[in-house]
Amino acid sequence: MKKLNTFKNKIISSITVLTVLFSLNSCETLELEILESPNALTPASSDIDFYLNAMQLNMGSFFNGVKDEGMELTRMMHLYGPFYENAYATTQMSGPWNDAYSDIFTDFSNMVPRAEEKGWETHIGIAKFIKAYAMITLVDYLGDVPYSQAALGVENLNPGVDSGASIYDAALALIQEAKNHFSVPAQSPSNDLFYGGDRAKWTRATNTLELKLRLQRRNAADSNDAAAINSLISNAASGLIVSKAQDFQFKYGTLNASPDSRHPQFVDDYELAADVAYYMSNAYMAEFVAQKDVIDVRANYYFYRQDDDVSDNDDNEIPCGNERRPDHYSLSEIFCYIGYNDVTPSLSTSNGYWGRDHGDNDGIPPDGGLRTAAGLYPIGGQFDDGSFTATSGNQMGLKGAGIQPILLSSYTHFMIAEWNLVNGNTEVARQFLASGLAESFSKVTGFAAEMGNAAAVEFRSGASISETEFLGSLQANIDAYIDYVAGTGATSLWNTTNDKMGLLVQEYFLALFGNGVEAYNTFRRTDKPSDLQPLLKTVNNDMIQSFFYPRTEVDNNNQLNQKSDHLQKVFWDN
Amino acid sequence: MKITRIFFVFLLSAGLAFGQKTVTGVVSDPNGLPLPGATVLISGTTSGVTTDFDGNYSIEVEEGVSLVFSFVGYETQSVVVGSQNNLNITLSEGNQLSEVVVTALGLEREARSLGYAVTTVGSEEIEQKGVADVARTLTGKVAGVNITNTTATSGSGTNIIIRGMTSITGSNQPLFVVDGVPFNSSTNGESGTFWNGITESSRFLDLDPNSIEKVDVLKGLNATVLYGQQGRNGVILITTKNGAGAKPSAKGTEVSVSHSTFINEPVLPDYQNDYGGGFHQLFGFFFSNGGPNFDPAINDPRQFGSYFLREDANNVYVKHPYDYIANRSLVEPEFSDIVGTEYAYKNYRGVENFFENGLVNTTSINLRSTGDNGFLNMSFGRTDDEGFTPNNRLRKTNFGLGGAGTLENGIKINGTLNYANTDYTTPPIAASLGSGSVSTYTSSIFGDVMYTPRSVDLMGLPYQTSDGRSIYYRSGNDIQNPRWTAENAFDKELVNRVFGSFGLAYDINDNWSISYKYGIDNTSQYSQHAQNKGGVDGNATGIYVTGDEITTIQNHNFTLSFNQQLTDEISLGGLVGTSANRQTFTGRYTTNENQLVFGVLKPFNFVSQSVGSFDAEQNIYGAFGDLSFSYNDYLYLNVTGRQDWSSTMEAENNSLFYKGASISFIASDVIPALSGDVVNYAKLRVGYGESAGFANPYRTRSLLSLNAKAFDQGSGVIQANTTSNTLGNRALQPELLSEIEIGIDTRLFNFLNFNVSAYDKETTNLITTRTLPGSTGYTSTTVNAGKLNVKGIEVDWDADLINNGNLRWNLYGNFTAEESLIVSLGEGVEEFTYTPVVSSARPQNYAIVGYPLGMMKANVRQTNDAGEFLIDDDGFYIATTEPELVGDPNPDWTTGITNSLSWKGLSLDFTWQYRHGGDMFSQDAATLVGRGVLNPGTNREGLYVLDGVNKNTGQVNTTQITAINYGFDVFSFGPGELQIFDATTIRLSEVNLSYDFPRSLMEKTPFGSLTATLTGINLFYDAVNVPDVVNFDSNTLSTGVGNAMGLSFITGPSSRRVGLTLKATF
Repeated sequence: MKKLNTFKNKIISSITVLTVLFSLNSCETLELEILESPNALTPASSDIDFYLNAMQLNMGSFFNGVKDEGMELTRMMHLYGPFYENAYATTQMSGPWNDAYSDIFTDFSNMVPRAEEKGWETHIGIAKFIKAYAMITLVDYLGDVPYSQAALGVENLNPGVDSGASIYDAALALIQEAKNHFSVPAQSPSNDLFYGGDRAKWTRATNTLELKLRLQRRNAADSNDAAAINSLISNAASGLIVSKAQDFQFKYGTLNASPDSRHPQFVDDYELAADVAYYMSNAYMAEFVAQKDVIDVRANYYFYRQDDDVSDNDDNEIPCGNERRPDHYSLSEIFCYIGYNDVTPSLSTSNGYWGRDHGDNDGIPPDGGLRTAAGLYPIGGQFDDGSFTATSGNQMGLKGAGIQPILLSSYTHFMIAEWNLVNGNTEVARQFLASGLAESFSKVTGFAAEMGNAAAVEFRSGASISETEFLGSLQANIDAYIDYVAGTGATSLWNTTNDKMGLLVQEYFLALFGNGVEAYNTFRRTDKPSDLQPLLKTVNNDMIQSFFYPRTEVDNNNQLNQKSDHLQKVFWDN
Repeated sequence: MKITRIFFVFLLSAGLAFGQKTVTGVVSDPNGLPLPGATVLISGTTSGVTTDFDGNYSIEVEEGVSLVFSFVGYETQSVVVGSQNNLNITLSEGNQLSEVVVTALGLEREARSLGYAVTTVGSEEIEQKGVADVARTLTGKVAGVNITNTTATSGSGTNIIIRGMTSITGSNQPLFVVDGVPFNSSTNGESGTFWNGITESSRFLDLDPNSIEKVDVLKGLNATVLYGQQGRNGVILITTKNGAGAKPSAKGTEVSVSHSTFINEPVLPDYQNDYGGGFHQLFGFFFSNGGPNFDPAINDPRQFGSYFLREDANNVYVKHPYDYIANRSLVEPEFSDIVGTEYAYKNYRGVENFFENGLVNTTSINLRSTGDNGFLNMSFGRTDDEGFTPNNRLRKTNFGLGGAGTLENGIKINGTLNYANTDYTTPPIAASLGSGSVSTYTSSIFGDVMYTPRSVDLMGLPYQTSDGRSIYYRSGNDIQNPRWTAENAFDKELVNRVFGSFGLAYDINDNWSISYKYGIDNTSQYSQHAQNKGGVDGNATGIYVTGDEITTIQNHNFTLSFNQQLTDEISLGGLVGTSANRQTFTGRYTTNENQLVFGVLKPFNFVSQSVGSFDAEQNIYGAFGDLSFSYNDYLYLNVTGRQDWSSTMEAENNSLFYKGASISFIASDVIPALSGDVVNYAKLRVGYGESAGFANPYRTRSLLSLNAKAFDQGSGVIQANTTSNTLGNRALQPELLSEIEIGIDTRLFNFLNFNVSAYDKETTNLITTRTLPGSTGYTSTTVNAGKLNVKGIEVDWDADLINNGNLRWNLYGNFTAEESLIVSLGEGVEEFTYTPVVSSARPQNYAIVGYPLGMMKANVRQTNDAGEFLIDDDGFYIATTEPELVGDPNPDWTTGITNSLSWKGLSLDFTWQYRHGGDMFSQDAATLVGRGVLNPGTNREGLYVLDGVNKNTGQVNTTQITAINYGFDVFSFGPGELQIFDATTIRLSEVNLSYDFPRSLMEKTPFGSLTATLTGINLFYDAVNVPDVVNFDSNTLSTGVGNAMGLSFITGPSSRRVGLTLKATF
């Protein structure tokens, strides 16, 4: 018995000693609820202004995520293709899709109730504007998408789609609400990246967004927007974005790190010397420098040439430079580069514009990165002074302080012109075409000054373009251009063409550089222009009517089935 | 009572006085080699001695009493002491009868009692292999363990998967336990980016392979139940020479010293030597090597166009590449003397000259003193490993001290304390798609050097301007000169690490004992990623990223164990215990961009700074029990259970109970037919085990991301907060793994040991990072979704073919086959990819229901309904938009065979390894063949017509393409399926030739023994289905440690190491 007791005691004392040791060392080890991350804040500590900042930044990145595709399809930029069916992977729209739903929508839901508590109407108005823009654009690019079941988190992990038409209606309701929010004085956002808290300008932008929405669905079966459009137009001077001071645009800065705040395309084209990432579109550049008998001064702002003569480059740099045009390219079609003579290549000429044809999917040849870069407007790059020097890195031009041109005054003029043309008011349409062109030229040529760096329009030593000549004749050239296109004279393009809508849209495209959204929408809405450059590799022009849903969405959402092909039209496209 | 006791004492001493005598002798193995540390016990008592280093013993004993001689791994022998004073004993090698194996928590169990497979690898297979990474020394040596080098870069990480992957998005790396305490084996990295993960070391690199006594690998869940959820991916138990588990040695002092020197030589592709840079046989300073023949007798000046200057009998001379640099500020005025000079068009062998043979020097010293009541051991190790890539280096210093002893009051104490200093630096080695780096964060040295055209004078051209910019042969200067990269960019990891353990134990009585062990592992890692300004890839303005990371693991283990012989037949053993494990991680990071003065990599020299941090802590608390019965030493039953609580999950879901049971039945002891000359021994075993998996920290709550530097339009930096895209999941539960394992261990024909295990493992409630449809408002969450199954078979065998004293030939090997199957991925999900996309032509790993984990998908050639390939008007294949299945990266089976021959002091062993099947994507093959620096046997001036029909016309394709286009547009940049290869590989993985200097020779020296060993690692390999000239090594993983498989993106050549080791004892 005693033995057993000793044993017991030994056990007890051993356990005691070890337990003491153990607990001395391990009390923090026994904490079993460490659930709040030290690496982020909790939603309770959010700040309304910071939410609004995030939404505004996402407005910029959302737009940036859709603008290129629209430009590529409308030949404003080069499309790799080679066919429409495989031009884009189904991941193409993932970025803007997630920007819209998992950033803009969720931040909207989290911010608005808190702003409502405080009565911060302007914040709410801006949030509604941004959400409406994102919704409209998702419908424009993808057709029917989730809306009423979207962004509910755990409450619905498989959101179903709503019809595009109903989403347009919902966006219109948000737009109407936003106008009301802007109509009352309220706390200004600490950072309004668009209008510096100017509610009148926000109202103009909201009205312009409404005009865009209603015009866009004018062909839809149940559209009944004429009165509203007419009303918006009749109050244009006071209610719409009609001059460039009212432009709705996302502005970038010049800071290149922490945070890099430059235009993304500037970073791609100018970060490294002589290493241009994108190809410009041959057909688009030709519209500025080869197709008209007048000078279009925007060319010097849109495009930056690094090479004075492309025709002396060898085949390895421009692989098409010894090829014949495909049979389905007419003789008037640009092929390979501006000035290329495919019958007798040795007779080719070149003014240095070096882009690619629609759907040319050749690999990147060893061309020294010297192809034509995007220029000063709108990405904040270098003004083309004809010095033909290679891009020398990120300290050029506006240093990336470009814009995303989302709703510019010129666009309003072109939209009004279209509405009038559709309604048979040809002369009014012409006037708005002319004023739209004037706005576009004013915007582009004044862009460096607008960005606070007029000196970025520089004429360096070695420039083949004379500063005095260029600037001295600038306004005369602009006037001549407008007169040539939209003048009252009998020989103006407007007065000589039977395809006035084609002309109007063509000129709209030339003003839209940087905004593929309006170009792609306008192309599908008007079916103009009808003579865009065909794909290089096929006669089939079964253009993308809407984009595929993002693959990750389809893979993970059992309520969403992928479209059968890229020819599915959105609701307003009849 | 008192009188009785006195009487007994008297009787006893009288007897001692009469019969007592001293017996001495030597205990040796069947080869005559002495066995140091063998136990000599007086039968029926606990008194005895151990043999010294030379196997000598001396014991006072009575005549007529039995002495019991035993040694781990040998059959115990009992001898009655007669009149002799000298008793030399030869112990025969044991089969599994008496072998003792270390199992979970360091418990020593008789091998025969185990219901599961444990593989032990001894120090001789680990030490002095010219490799600083202990995991790499284990490659191919353990059935069921798949070890993959990420690259051959010295210091790079190593991927270890035991019995297949059981988690899709979680970690599948095993738990390392060093001297009884959990050991941090993670890969940290300041970049945290997938495509740069390869740069990071695995932290088991901090162990010194030369101080390791042995490694036991616990593979199945039944074997690892007691380690809790951390052991679910298998456990690598490492016993160091400092650890209390080290094998007992003879009393006295022993000093051993070894030193090895290895040459580390890259295995480069077999470059062709006839053609230089250009395209379509036309010369140009291009990426591609499709230019004219070097021989002026064969080439034609017209092939050089306007580049041509003159030719002589040996070479054509062209204008200098720096004449063509578009950005003239790179060239003028400083290289004006080069501009305008002629440049010989010849084979400069740039790549071969760029790499150099590395040198690996390893020294290790071990000091040991063993006394009556314990031992003290000190180890020192130093490795200096120069890689074959310029400025790749690994330096490592290890100190360790350990000991164990019994105090007078019976308390046993033991402890170890280790310090490791690891200093690793490499130029950036991020994955590459054929040129430059995939990661926008960094450049890649291999991505810029491996495809260097033969005519580029890599080592002769200036590579840096005086203001520090990279300059190279292309007119756009768009390739970062690899020499510039080697000089100006690096990733470094400097690790200071302290780990060790403190243990107390006490035998309460013969049956009960109690123990406590505290383990600590503190890793402090200072990481740097830098590139001076003036580069082309990554940040051209200069970048300097630093990371301070501290990982701490504390572990308490408390056990009460007992052991009792209940009857003659039945014995019972068991333990109960608790363990508390705490892991904390703190990381502080700075990113500095826009360098001011070239070359100075300090934060003050940068314009912009941003900071980041990451902290995490996790506690796991467990209570466990283990009960084992044995019946008549032929039937064993073991039952285990453990309850775990984890701090990472919500209170209602934070614990899980799991259990295991196993039976071992020594059939040969019961069934006479199994105990003859054919079957000598047969054991059947069956085991079932479970384990839990808890989520990583902070997966249950949603977060708000704050960005203090969100944007600057020009009027100051603004801030933003946004709802995190990761949705917290409060309902998250632990995942449950279960495994059933059956096996048979046999000894046949008195010379062949043959052991087979088969297992079937399943994970349910898989904790998976799931991509959410963006329309939910979030992009990812952590869910319990799906079921994954892994089945496999493992064989270990060894055969003593010849064993006649002087000559011995032993053959041994292993075989592994396993297959995983994704049973489900949760409702509505049929597949997802868990590796990022780089381009539609490059594969990603997928989890697809009904397939093994890791299937590769990439775009493929479009076909028509008849299955014919569609060809475009230019004569090329047309790629699909959507990815299709292109390969299964899981090998069908792998095997290794070692021949071990010894004759007197001379021994030779060599190991062949073979991998059968499993697909790999090789960017190396695609790029190097496609760009024409390799010649796989094609006629590069020929024309090809791809098999298929024209997409537009429907007619059979007749459009010719050139060999250069075939290489470039089809093989190199065509649809992804064309770059997938079967990765069957045969490899001579290791050869050792060693010589033990005879003892007779040593007698007059201070040495106790001296051994010289010549070792070759990876001397030969051939991936038989990849073009030979590529010298592709399937033992690579460009994506670093993780769950990706079969992806090789130009992360450097393989290497072979040859070296000499001298080992001496004093």
